[in-house]
Amino acid sequence: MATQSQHRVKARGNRAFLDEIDASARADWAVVVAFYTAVHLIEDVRAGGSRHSLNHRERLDFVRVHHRAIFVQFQHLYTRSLLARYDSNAAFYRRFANADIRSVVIDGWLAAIKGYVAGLTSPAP
Amino acid sequence: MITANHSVIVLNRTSGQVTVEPEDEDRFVISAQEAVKACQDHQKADHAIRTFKQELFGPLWEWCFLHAARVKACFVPRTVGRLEVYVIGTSEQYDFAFGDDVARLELSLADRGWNVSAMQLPDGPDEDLLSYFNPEGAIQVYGDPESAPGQSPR
Repeated sequence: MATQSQHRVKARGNRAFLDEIDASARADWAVVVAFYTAVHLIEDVRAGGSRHSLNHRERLDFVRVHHRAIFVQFQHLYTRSLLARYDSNAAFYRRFANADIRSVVIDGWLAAIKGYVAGLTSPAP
Repeated sequence: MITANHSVIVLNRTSGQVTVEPEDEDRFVISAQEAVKACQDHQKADHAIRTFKQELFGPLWEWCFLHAARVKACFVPRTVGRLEVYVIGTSEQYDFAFGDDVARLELSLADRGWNVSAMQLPDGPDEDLLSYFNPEGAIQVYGDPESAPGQSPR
């Protein structure tokens, strides 16, 4: 199991990657990376209590029960990344506008989760 | 809609009571038993199934009815694990505001002791919806029965 600081490094690396790519050009992968950034942010919090999520659903339950303030954003990211992974390209790009990937997904949902987690966790060593 | 052999179980709601079309009752009980098993907070047979109908499907139907402009259909597939609720939107595009509502639906059900996962699926061809759940034996809580993936037009 990864440590809190290892989750933090993964989250930071994923988030930096989102700035390196043209997210709107590959919105499907961008949303997957955004979701996994959020996953590591949540696991950072959870590892602080020496716990780890067993799977996506159990992590969603953890967020719903213990961090309700970001449940809506986290569920959006989960759902959208699921659609990104399992939809055909045609279906995914019919369902989502590329233009909203940065404003809604990265600067909206993910930023809200990142800000919330930053308020809970101690500064990185 | 694509013609196939899938058969959903259709719920009706009249006079505040959730009912199943008579010919679907047996299949409903089988499906509901599986769903009940998936709900850790509501276990055991007949009483649980009655509770399931009135306390889960009732509020679920009401929620769909209140959001009718954005809900095309709602399904609870047969499950071996956690209970899942799929809300099919009226739009082919993911509706962000509606997604907020679906997340709040899950929170609201959890507050009532129903540990379910609720997910918005934008409307689309059957093959898109079939990637996410199997309509065979699924309970259609809301919507036109013909909106089920794989249902033949009557």
